Amino acid sequence: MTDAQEKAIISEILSGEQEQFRFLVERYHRGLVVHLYNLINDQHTAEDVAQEAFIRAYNKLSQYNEAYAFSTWLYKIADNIAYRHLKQTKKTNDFAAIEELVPDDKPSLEQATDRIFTQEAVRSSIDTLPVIYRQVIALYYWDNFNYEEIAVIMERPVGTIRTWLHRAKEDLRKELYGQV
Amino acid sequence: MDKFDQTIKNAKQEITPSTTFVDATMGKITNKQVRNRWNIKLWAPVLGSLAVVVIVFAVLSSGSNTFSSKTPISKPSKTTSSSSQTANSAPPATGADNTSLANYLGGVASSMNQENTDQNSANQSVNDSQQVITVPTN
Repeated sequence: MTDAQEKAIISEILSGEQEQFRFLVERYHRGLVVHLYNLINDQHTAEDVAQEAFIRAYNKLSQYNEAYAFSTWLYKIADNIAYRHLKQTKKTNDFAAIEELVPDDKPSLEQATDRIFTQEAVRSSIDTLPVIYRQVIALYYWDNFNYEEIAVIMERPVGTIRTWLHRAKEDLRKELYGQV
Repeated sequence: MDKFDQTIKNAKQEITPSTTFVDATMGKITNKQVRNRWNIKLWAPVLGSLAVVVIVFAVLSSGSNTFSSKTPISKPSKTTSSSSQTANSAPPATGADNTSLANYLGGVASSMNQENTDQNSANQSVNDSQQVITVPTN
């Protein structure tokens, strides 16, 4: 589906053909659920949030600005819902993550320099980061949005997004390599 | 993209969404559309509240009509306690004179009469209330 086709579908939905929205759900649901799963770490919740995002997008479709990609707008809605969910469950999740993460013996810098980290180790370290850093990492590395698109999704200036991504990487590096 | 960037990129977790996701989402959207079209979502609580108010008002008004026509329930006399106090007063000591004994017995008789009066009054109240209850209400 091209962007032009997508815009045509959106026009049809706005003129009353609600069943056309199915094409948008089919196109974006997989990427959105995976994105939310990487933020929330629970498939059931990720699917609930994704579903809520689609419903909100449908109900507010008349407010969609065609200057931006539909995916950007959809992810913005979804991330707002996910952010609220994560803030509500932050305390318990953070404690659980910290307990899991505290290693018995962190490697020295010399040992760590060439260390190849497992996916689980990196994931666990990412989960200790603040929510906004996790969002930036997910959007940039895993969903392939550029700085400008992330700025739209997170409603922050592009410079702020660059700064957040830089800090997220530094914090992650410290966590993995045991530097303070 | 350096080696560390690649490490982060590789940490992405992949899952497969449930196969019913699209249909379930569209089902919710379709239902929502129907509800919004008829404004049921908006009006249901308002109509429900109005119905409750009407029912409560009807019950209250029918109840007040029934009881307003009844004879008020008479309360038992409050003199029981004072007469009982008289009856329960200490009997004259052994060797007391006849006058004291007669006074004491007179008080006892008066108390018994008062007790009977109170009992009759209470019985009358019970009868009154039973009479109110048995009156058919339409």
